[in-house]
This record gives sequence, structure tokens and C-alpha cells, in this order.
Amino acid sequence: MTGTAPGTPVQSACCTSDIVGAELDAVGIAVTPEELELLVAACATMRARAASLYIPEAELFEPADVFSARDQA
Amino acid sequence: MTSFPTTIVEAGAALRAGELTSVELIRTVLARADKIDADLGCFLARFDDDALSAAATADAELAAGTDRGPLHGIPLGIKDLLAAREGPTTAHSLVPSRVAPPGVDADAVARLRDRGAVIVGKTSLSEYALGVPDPDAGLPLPRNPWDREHWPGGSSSGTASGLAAGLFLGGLGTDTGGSIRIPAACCGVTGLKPTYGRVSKSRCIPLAYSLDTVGPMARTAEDCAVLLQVISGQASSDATSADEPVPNYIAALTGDLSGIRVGVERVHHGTQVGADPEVVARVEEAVKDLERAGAIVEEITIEHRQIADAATRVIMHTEAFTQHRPTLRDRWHDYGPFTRLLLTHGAFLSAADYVQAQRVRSLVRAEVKQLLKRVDVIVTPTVGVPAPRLDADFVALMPLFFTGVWNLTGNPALSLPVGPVRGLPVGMQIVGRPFAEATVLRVGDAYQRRTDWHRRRPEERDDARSDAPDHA
Repeated sequence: MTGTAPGTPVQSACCTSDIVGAELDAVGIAVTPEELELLVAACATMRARAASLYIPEAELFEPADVFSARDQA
Repeated sequence: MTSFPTTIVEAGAALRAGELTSVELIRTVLARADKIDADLGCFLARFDDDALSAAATADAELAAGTDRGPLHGIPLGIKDLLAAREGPTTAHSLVPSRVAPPGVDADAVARLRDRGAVIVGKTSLSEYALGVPDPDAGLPLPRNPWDREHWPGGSSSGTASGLAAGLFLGGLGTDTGGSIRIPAACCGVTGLKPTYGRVSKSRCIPLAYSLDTVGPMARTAEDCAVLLQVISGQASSDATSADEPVPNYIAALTGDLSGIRVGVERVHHGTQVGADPEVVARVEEAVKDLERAGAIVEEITIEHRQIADAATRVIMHTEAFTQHRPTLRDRWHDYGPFTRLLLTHGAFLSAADYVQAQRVRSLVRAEVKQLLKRVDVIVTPTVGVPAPRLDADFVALMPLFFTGVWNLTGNPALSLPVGPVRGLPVGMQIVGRPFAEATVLRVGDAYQRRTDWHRRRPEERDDARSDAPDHA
């Protein structure tokens, strides 16, 4: 489930139809022009959402999925 | 008994008192399904013959003095994301998955069956546990038993709608961002997302590995405790299942909340973020009921609540795309149009974004850990609106699904009905410390001992009662 939260900034410069189309080509997914248009919008939303995660408060935290060697013993 | 049992506990008592047999119980729920499921869209597969055979065995065992416990002879519905040996697991999709092969049970299903439960069928869901109603997908469209023009919630749609309509007395759902709690709220039933790792995910088709959970759905918190008791515990087949002791959940249901500290989060769950004022009012009334039961209520704020949603979605879309990338390439047109677009969103996120989302996850977990030193449980609305119409703009409504943050942190979270808004049920969410399901269920059970919202049924249920065998 996705959606743009109220107030979420949308960055579209890196989500043109050419760029999104190339990224889909790279993974072998072929879409219709209508679907490409929707995915260009989704790309902007997802990248804005990801950009919002780079906040100073998180700098002191390690990722939640850090590797543990204990299970290998 | 004078009326047909509506909960697992009531049915168990009737079975043991000789007032009802499991075969009668199964025949009744199957007859209800015959009558109403064509337009409810609850079942993707029914196992009538196997269920009646299992019920006959359950009756024979009880007659011979063998009692497998509270689930003995009880009809259950299983979300079709979990394997059951009677047939294939479809994930409500035309695209097959290799994770849940035919002929085997998911670990949680096997545990239920071992305790005498009768699996009556596999229930509908949002395709691959993602997305929203997709009438163009060419598959059954789950509908809300309270109003067929409304969504039953998702993704565990059929388990919730079937419980509300009386097609079984308990069941299993899965929850990656709210998929047990949202349909529980929309259909007026009770559902628990356990702590991550509490219940094995073995042979459950994944959506997002680090967020997925398997959990119980039923009419009451007490019934959820009965189900959780059976399905909890470490499994060697699931590396993420936790080596944590399983307490006695049923014994924890004392009805007393004396000394329990309840934190109410209003800042990010109220009308100021778009929640329906009547939904907020129902939850505030429920909080007063908790206070009358002895709880100490205070207001809390989750400072990083909004960024938690962003982290949840980045993690979910990245992990889901990882799972589906090969089949999106090879079978694009076999996915529903909405599903395939949603699954592709993960293609636009980088590895750095995923790692950063996991750092934010640590930050939010640390904040919630501190809050849950002050209070025993956190309370919010489950969804900020009553069940939307099937043709609603779901993307616009998604910020009002107040559930994903607890998949991010891994905490247990229960949704239970707290009254209707414009004729549709709405839910309250109760969140506890990791592996403190007993406390969450205790709070929910204490509330349900003082209210009867969980006993309200849609009209079809009352009609169906006339189909029950005469066992009074």
C-alpha cells in the first residue's frame, strides 16, 4: 500500500519517463504508456519518501538488520 | 443452550456439554457460506468433505474421552497466503508462488490442526497481501458483510468478513502493515498482530520479510488468546521465529486493569491528521471504559511517528520487489493491474535508501521502547475512517491506516471493535511491549467484558441463525 502523505515534497527531476523507462528496461519489465505515466509519479513519491529518511537523529543508529555472527557458530 | 455459539469459547463449552457436535457446527457454517458467500467473496477454496470428516473425528475423539483442547472441533478459516494441505495456496493471484507448495501445512496451520481445529477453507485477500480492491483482476472481490458496497479491509479480507458473517469462529491472517488489524476494524472483529517472531512464518508466502507476521483473528480477545496459545513458539523451519517462552495467555485475562498504564497517542491519530471525528469519539469513549476498569490513562506523543511511516513503506516496497522481481518480469499481465504497479514501486529505491530506513527503524524502536517504560500499552484508532466504499480513493486514505509503525517496531498490536460510525464498525488499536501479548489481550478482554460491540453482527448473520440445527 502506498500513497503520498500530506505535505510530502515531490522530487521529479530524477523521475522522468526516460529515466523510469530505462530503469524498468534494466530489470526486464515492459509496461504500457499509461502504466509508465503512473510509475513516473510513483517514482517521485517513493524517492521523496526515501529522501525524508536522511535526518540527523538517525545518524547515531545502526540499521535494524545488522548482521550477527552468532547464528553461524 | 438457547442460541448458536458465536465464539470459540462458547462453542467449546457447547461441544463438551453435549449440546452440539462438531459435525453440526461445521454443517451450519457451510450452509451459511452456501447462502451468502457468492457475493461476500470470503472463500477462495472450501474443504467441505475434509472438514466434515475432521469434525466427525473430533466428535468421536471427544466421545472417547480424548480432548485436544479449546480448538477441538472448532471451524477455522485460513488466509490463502498460508499453506494448507488440502489444496494449493494462491495468494489470491494468477501468479503462482513456490513458497507454499500443495500438500503441506504452514507451521501455524499444522499446530492448529494438531489441536483438533477443523479447517473449513482458505480465505480471500488483497493479491499477494498488497494493495486494494482490484475489480479488474478477474478474481473474487471481497466485500464487507456490514455493507456490500464497502471494503472489508485488507489484506486479510476474507478471514475478517467470514468471522463477521459467521462462516467460521476463528482464523489466521497475516500482517505486514496492518493486514490483520485493518480488516478486523472494518468488519467489527478482533485481530492480533503478534510480536515479530512470536509465530512461525514457515510456508507463508512473504510480502516483506522483516515486517511480515502471522496472527489470530476471532470475535473476541479471549478467542485470540486461545488461538495464539496454540500457534506461538519457535519453529526450526523459520529462522526469524523467536526463542522466547510462551506464557499462558488465557490465564492473563483477569478482567481487571488496576494499575495498568494506558498511553493515548492523539497527536498523530486525531482529526488534525484527517481522522473522522466520530471515529476519534468512539475511541475516546473506549479509553474512558478502560479507565473505569482500573487503568491509569495519560497522553503520550510518538515524536517520530510520521517518518516511521516513510521507513515502513521504503522497507516494505524494497523487500516486496525483491520477492516479486522475477515474476513481474515474466508474468506482468498475470498480476492485477494495481498490484503489479504497487510491487514495482520498490524498483525506484536504492540500497542506501533501504539501509537508511533500517536506521530510522532503530531510532523509532528506541523511542517506542522508552515510551513503553512509562506506560504498559499505547492506544490509537486502528483506522481513521470507517470502512471505505469499494470505489474510494485508497491512496488518499492510506495515511489514515494507523498500523504500519508497529510492523516497523515489531511490537504486538490488537484491534478490537469499539462501536459503529454511520452503521459501520470501527476499531481501537492496543499496542504492547515486545512479547507482551498477554498484557495487550488482557486490556482488550477487560474492555470486551464491559461492552458488547464485539457481539454485534451484520444482518446476514441474524438471518443465518435460522439455519442452525435445533440443538437447544
